[in-house]
Amino acid sequence: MEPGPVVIIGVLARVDVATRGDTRLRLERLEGVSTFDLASPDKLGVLIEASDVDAAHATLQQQVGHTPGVLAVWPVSIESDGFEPRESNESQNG
Amino acid sequence: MTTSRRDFLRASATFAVASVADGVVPAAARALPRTDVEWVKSVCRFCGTGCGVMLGIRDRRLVALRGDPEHPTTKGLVCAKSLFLPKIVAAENRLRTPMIRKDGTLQPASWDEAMSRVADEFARAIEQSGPNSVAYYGSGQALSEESYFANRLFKGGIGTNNVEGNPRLCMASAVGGYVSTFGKDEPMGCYDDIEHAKVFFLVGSNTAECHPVIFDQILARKQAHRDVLVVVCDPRRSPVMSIADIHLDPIPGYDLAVYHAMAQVIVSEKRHDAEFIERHCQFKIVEGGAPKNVDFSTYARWLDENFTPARAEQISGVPAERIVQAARLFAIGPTLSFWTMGLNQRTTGVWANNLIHNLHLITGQIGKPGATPFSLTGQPNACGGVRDTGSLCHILPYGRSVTNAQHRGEMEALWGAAEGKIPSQPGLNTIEMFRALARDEIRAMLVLTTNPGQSLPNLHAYRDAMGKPRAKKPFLCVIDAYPTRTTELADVVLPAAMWTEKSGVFGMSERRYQYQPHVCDAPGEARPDLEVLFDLAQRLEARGVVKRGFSAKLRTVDDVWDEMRQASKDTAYDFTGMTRERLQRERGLRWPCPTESHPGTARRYVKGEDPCLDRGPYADSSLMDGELKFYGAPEHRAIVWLRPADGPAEPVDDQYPMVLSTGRVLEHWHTGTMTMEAPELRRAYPECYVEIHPDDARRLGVRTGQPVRIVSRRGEAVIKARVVAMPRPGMVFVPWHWADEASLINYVTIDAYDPGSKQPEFKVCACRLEKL
Repeated sequence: MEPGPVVIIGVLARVDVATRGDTRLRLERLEGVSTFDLASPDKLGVLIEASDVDAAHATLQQQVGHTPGVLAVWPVSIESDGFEPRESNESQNG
Repeated sequence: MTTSRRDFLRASATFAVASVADGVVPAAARALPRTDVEWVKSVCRFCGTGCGVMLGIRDRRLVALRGDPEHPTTKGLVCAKSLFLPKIVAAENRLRTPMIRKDGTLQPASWDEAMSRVADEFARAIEQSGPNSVAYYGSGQALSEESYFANRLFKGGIGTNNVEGNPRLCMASAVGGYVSTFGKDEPMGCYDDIEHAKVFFLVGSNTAECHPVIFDQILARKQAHRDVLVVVCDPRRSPVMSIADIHLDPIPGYDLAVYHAMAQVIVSEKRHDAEFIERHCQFKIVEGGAPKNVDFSTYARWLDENFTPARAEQISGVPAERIVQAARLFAIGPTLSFWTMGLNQRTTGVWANNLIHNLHLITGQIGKPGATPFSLTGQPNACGGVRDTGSLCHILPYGRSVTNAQHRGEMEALWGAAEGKIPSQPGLNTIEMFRALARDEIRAMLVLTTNPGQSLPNLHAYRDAMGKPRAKKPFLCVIDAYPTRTTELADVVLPAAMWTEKSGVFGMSERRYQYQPHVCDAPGEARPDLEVLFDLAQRLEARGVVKRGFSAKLRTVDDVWDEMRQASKDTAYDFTGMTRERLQRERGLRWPCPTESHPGTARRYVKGEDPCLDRGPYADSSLMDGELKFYGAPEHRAIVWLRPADGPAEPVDDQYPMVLSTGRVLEHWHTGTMTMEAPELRRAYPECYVEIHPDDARRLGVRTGQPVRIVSRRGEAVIKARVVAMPRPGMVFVPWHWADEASLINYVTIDAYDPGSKQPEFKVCACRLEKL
């Protein structure tokens, strides 16, 4: 049994290649935020984990999007504990 | 393999990001369990970018949405607005039942009762006051088939050209610019040009927030190629500034001198393309109310005499050196210009559009990869639905004009209307239509999928026109999916099915027509707009105000599409090759597309790409592949216009010393009817705000969070201040998404409009701020 509800927003971040390493460190320091590599050096995968969609969205809007070195952010999916299992990158139950 | 719930969610999100980013899915995200969700391709409901989306459907319900990685231009990206569409569609707030105003309040009614009332009111108005006493006000959000049929019913059935739509408020000046320069509406380039451009000229466009997927493509291009440069022309430092190399920041409303001065630099430094000009351009100036031909040397002299960079600096406030730098970059190219409302929503909107085209024409930056002038559109179907179908008061489908007898005859024949049924003069444009409503001269109006009770400028006047009780108050019927500031004024409200709840075609900014499938059930008794229009047509026929059988041959949305294809045949829009089946199969097609085997057209006017140069009335076998021909323009030469550089309709003065400009934010869209239904988007921007430059805030003694009153000659709004160095000093900026009474910024905006395009000047009016 896992603690509390979980919402995860999957984000495609476009980053400045020259400062990619620093940017990644800054992102990883944010609460609930983890990153993963993508094939293109100008992109980073970002997962934002929070207890609800609002909190995750606030982290995206107020922190991830304003992290130095992040040029643009694209929320690609919203995955929620409260929704039924889905096979891939879908956003939101109606 | 067992997967914890949290791991599953992480893997699913990782899969989503990776598949959109580069198609390489990390190992952790593989082997996700299959579910019973069916994925169907469609197109986003919001802006004119036309992002491809995949809809997750279960039990006729939209349960999920993702970007479509296979979409040829948007490649899987969508913005936050799109991501929340499933929640927006399923909102509790949806209208579900027809309503009729009784004793001052809207009360539930049956469809038959509501439609009988609508038909009775329209029939009475037509019988008593003639066909021009009724009007239709549509939307760039309606499906193409819906706009086409409404246009057909009002112009060919009822016999009035009082057909308008909200694109009049957003892109009419772009239409005027294309038509007056090239003789034909709509962009000649396409999104593929982003991949080839080396200079981007972003004019009056907050692309980062209003067309975010386009912005990302520009950003990606700039990141991959360090020699790609971006010139931004905007009095506000919008988020686009994050990629700007040169910023031209004119005093709002005084930018036309900048474009002329760029041309002056290009010509005086001999950076123009003399061969291109010789082959493809002509020059005109309006004198004594009539256009007069001039030659290139006259144009050059006129620029030297009136618009040196130093002179433009005096007029616009933009430093001359920056104008020179921008001009030199523009001439190098390939240059792709994008613009939106900053250029269009002006009383000089058409002229401003002409001047951007001028720059492309004198440098030959047009008709080749990466080089094109490109007006971006704010709604999903302003292009395909309203511009192309001719659903405005002065035009007919596919480039035809109401003032052209041959064009009227063609449409009367296709529609089965009596000869002479379509009036030979334009109907009332949007502002004049609502003014006529205020004078009680329009006796019955149908508003479809739009919210003029919030979106019109000088709003007090027009809210009164629509809703103020009076002895001869006109009848107002509103069709919408949600309650709005307009439905509250209506006499009859009809609940609409939306987006996934009906099928049809959206046509977006790059001439791509895309099919939207019907995959969900509408809530309650909501019906597709086209069904409502069919119903109204039959009832008007039964009442004798429309010829009996006028709409008999059209019974389904597919029937309407087939007639539209027929109407496009042998026009510059020819999309007869876009069958319903083909659109369902493919991820959109760009017109012209004259045969079922034609792949669609990336660039118009280019031999070898544009099929209109191979067959039909514009065919020219003398051209070699790659050669250009502006076949819509007089003598096939595009017009370089010598336009005045006039300022706005309402300059600032001692009483109203500041300039108000309005616009949008990323998370919301237009009047917020849809985006405010997603709590996450609503909370991202819970209330309206006014951006004030720190210099002005200091002078006024205003801090962030304090409410201020914004006052113009027309009205006022009370909004919280956001002190930020984004607007130019002396300018304030307000997004217009919020519907609460105090935040209705259109009480303040001006309804002066461009004499050519009839588009109002939302971007510039004089105001003052009062600290509260």
